[in-house]
Amino acid sequence: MKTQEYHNHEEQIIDMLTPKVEVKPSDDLRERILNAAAQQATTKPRKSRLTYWIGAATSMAAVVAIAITFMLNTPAYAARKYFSTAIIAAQEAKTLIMKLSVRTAPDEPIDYINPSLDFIPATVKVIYGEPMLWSIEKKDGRKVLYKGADAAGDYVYQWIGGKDGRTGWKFNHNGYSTDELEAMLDPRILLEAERRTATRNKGTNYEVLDLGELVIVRVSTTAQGDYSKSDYMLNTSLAEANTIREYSFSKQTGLLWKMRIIIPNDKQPITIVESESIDYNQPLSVDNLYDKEQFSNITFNNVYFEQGQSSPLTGITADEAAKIILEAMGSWDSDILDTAMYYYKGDLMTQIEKKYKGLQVQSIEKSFKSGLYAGRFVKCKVVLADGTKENLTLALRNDNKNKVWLVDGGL
Amino acid sequence: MKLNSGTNIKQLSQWIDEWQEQLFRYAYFRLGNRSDAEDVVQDAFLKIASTTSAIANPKAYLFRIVANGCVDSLRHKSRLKPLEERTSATIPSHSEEMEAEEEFRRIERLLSHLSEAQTEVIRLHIHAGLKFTEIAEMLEEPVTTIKSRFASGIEKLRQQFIN
Repeated sequence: MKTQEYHNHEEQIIDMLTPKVEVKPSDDLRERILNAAAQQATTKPRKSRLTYWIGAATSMAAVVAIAITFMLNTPAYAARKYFSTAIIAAQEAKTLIMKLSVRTAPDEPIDYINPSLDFIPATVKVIYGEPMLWSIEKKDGRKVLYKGADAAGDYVYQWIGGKDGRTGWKFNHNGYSTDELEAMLDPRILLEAERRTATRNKGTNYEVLDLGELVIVRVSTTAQGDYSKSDYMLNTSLAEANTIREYSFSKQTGLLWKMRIIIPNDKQPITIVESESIDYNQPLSVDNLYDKEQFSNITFNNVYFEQGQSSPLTGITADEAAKIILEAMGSWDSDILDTAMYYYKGDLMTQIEKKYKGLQVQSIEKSFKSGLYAGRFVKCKVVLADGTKENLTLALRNDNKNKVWLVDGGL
Repeated sequence: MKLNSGTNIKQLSQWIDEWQEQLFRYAYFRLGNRSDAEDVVQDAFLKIASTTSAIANPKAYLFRIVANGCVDSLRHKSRLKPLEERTSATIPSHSEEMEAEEEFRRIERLLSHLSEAQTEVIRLHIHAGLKFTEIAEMLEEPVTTIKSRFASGIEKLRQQFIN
């Protein structure tokens, strides 16, 4: 006979198996189903809806875009189906070489965009496998590389400065977070993100156009992040911009054939990223991913930061940290700067010392958050040693183990 | 509007109102993400709306289609497993969604100790809130078999985690 203790244990197990989080379908699921059912009812029986509409589309001029969203129930639903097909089609790919044009600055982070800048060529190369090996290169600018684990360790390398670059950073590959542009390493990741966003993001709209041999899926999204306090970060990365993302899929292969990212603008939409070519299964080896000679001349600093709690840059606000750091730059206090400027090493630090040593702080404003940035921004006015006045917006972050404020950008 | 010989919009609306949450909860804790779960649920309602033959037990029918849809979706996902693992770390997520996904993974780890037949009954009973008689009808098995699968699954976990 089962004892009370036994029953208690059973209840414990059932409790462990019971979700502690309540999940509910999206508010609009009911409406989506009813709309789709109504559309479904209007199609002729005995003939597949897909066949019917593709047949109709191919009989018209290819340049006439036909909205076919209704044949797959709702635009988001239709888009998800195309994303899924492309993901499966790309599953067999062994390599990818994608050439892009991006409005960005060469040395800025890979995901940085700026609608007012000219296009810069960028190349993405990927060798699919376990692990996936890859590189992203902005022409004469920042490069990011993962060439697999070797005797030096298992790192993702990043460096800037074109051919003369001497400073780089290395990140532990395990746990390295890819940002928006790096998701382009694997169009499947991008498409998977899009597929999942299709339901999650309430601010997303979908349009599906049939152009004969191609299907275009157009995704309109609003910027992610919090801009209630400041729009400083708005339009600085793809995730932090209102964008229209346009994916062209080959109907024959299902593969992603072309992509374009546009920022809608009151006057005229601005294309931010455009693929020039997407080639799958071209011969590619690890040696083709990067310039070995240049790589061997670079000193890579490990970005894993750990600082004792005794640092003066802990337990204070970002604006207080900015004051300490700028004053330390004035007197060039290496004790403080070695910590605060952890991400600035080698020739980069030499350049900063040359420019900012001897500065005087004029004013520091209250720090603010913007967009998706994990840290805070601090606007400061300084006078350089040669008398030049400069306005800075320091990016400071303290999302490390001991909450030490570090300079992450703005110099 | 008439959808087919047996279903009209009003009827479909009633079914959605009555069962979409249960179906979604079941699909969510089977698949681990909202968009897949909603796709499967939507497909099930569209299928029932387009079925021309009369359906004796629409609830059991819907759960059967959602269960089959989940299996298809998981089969598709298993081909993409390394990709899913990579994307899970990169896609921005609402915190509630992240909590739910974490909860999904926690329960999946527990259920991984059991047979598929046991987990299915546990999911349908605990996650979907179906009675044993409803599960029996849906799976076309005797109620005693369903109860026995549930009990043996719980017992296995009890031995694993409590003894």
